[in-house]
Amino acid sequence: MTALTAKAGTVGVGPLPPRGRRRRRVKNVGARIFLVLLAVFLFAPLFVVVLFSFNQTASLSFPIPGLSLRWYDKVLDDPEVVAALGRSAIAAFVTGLVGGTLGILAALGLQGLPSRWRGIVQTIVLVPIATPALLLAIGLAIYFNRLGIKPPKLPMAIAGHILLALPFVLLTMTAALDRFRFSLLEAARDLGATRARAFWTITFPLVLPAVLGAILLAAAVSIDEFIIAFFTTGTDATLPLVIYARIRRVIDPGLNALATILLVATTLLAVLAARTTVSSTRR
Amino acid sequence: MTGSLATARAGTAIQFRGVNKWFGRFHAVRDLDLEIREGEFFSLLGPSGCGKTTSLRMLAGFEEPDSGQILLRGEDVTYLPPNRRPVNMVFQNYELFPHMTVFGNVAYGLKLKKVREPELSQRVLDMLRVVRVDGLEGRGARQLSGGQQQRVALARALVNRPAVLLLDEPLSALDVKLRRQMQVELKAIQHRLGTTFVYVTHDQEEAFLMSDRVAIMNHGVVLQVATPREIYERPADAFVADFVGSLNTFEFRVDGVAHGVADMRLGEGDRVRLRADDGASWATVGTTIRAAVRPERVRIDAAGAPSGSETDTRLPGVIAGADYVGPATTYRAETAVGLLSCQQSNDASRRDLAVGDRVTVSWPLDAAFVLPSSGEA
Repeated sequence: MTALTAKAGTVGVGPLPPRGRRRRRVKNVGARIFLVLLAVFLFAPLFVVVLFSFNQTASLSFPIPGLSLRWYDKVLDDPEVVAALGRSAIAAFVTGLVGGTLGILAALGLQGLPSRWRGIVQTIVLVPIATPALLLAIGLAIYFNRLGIKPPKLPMAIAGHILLALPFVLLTMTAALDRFRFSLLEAARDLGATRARAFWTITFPLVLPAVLGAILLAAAVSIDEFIIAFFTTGTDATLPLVIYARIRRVIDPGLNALATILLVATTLLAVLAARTTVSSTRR
Repeated sequence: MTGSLATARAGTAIQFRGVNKWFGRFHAVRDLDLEIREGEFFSLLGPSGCGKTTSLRMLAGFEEPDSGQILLRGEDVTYLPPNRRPVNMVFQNYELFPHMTVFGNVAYGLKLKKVREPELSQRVLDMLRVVRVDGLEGRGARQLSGGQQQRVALARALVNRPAVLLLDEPLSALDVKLRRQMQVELKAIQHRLGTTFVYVTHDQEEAFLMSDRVAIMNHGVVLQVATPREIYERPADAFVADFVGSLNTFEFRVDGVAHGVADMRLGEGDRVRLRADDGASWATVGTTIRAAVRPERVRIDAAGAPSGSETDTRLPGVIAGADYVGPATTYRAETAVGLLSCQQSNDASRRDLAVGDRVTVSWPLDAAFVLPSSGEA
């Protein structure tokens, strides 16, 4: 009797864990298929653009007859495109620098506010994220016009980009400063450091990764921005505007090359930004 | 700085003069008057929120008093910023700089003082040897154990040769064994360097073990400043007595006074005796006061055992409970003055007693003391 139940027990219990494991594996496969589909959905258009940028012929038919760099050659020989690339690079650089600096100073200033005011100010600064870029663009155009300022067109676009990037910079920096142990500054002060010295030797090196991340993020926001640039730059077109203008005329395989350049630049900036901020959180 | 040098007494490291500190409506430190001597290990002891840490932070320069004065070696430092005071602090959470090595942390203060190589390295390495973490100078501050962080924090402060070293519950994050070891070491380091240490803690044993003198604080007020022994054996009031150890308290009615000893007569010739110093205001027949005796001073014997000295207090009692904790057993005995705890060490003379046993409870004349009511200290 006892032997029997014991046997029954082993038989009943034995196969159970593998079955459970198998079921989990099946679930995993389902999740993986879903993930792959999602990736295809998200990245297939990008892949097509990149692929055709290396196309040998001008026809957009599949499969492509062969690989070449001719469209890159063609596009980079085009003075209009090169000028636009230069403007986009300048815009990204200035937006990163100015937006980054302003955002960092704002984040530091916010730390000094009493918590209730901090919340209010933070919400106000984040409003541009929720505002349609179109409104922002029209607003900026009218604003500059009414002020009677007739600046070169590019600085106007850059001003818009800074406005757009500021909330992102602020969010990144606020998160980094929230993790920063301000009591470390007391230790530095106690050891003889002035306020300024404590900031430069303790605060700054510890939040530097987040600072770099924020600057790269601001640059990434600028480089593929279209709407504000469209409303403000006029003849000083940035890269996204040139692509748009050409797509309206003819289907130009050179655009694929141009889009790929833009894609690589933004992805690179975004990845760099993510990496530096992540490394600053590991503390 | 200011010309208050003349008022400083030789050998005085720190003076608090009528210092008050408010946080909003909370009166954190009240009329603090305190003198800490040059070269002593001084502890501020009290429950959390008693104002001990605030006092220390005012000394470091992180808080400004709302009124009063703080003198450091005779100079008024009340409103001097922390970086201009010749004091250094060991923080509760160490606050080592995570992006620097051990060497970088310890050298931080010296570099600000423009100490140059080779003196810089020499002093850093010497101090690391003093706190026994030599060989770790290349480690990152994040790669240290709790005990090592503690030692590095100590070295980082001491390497600057401060006039006073401030320590804010520096051992509270360590486990019990390591804490005890560090207590002994801290005391040895203080002795060796001769630096004045001001130590904040809520741990009575820790304060007693290390300190030359202790200030007991509660509700922002210093209740008593004395050696550990004085505080334990002659506490200024009931709070102090209770805070620094367990205590048996009882009502004492003065039935007679003779030869500097007051008696309370209980039935069958049993007496409780209390030393009545000359001019003690309570030592008049008919007065009732509160008296106390520490559990470890109370002796417990089987009933009828031979008596000790003539002046001992002897009371019959019945064992009501026993708590065995290894090296000692705490008995509770019901007596004519109430339930008394008696702590007996389980040494060669141990007597195992059971609940219900009839016993004689006794203590020497000087073991018991009068308990001044709080606020009268």
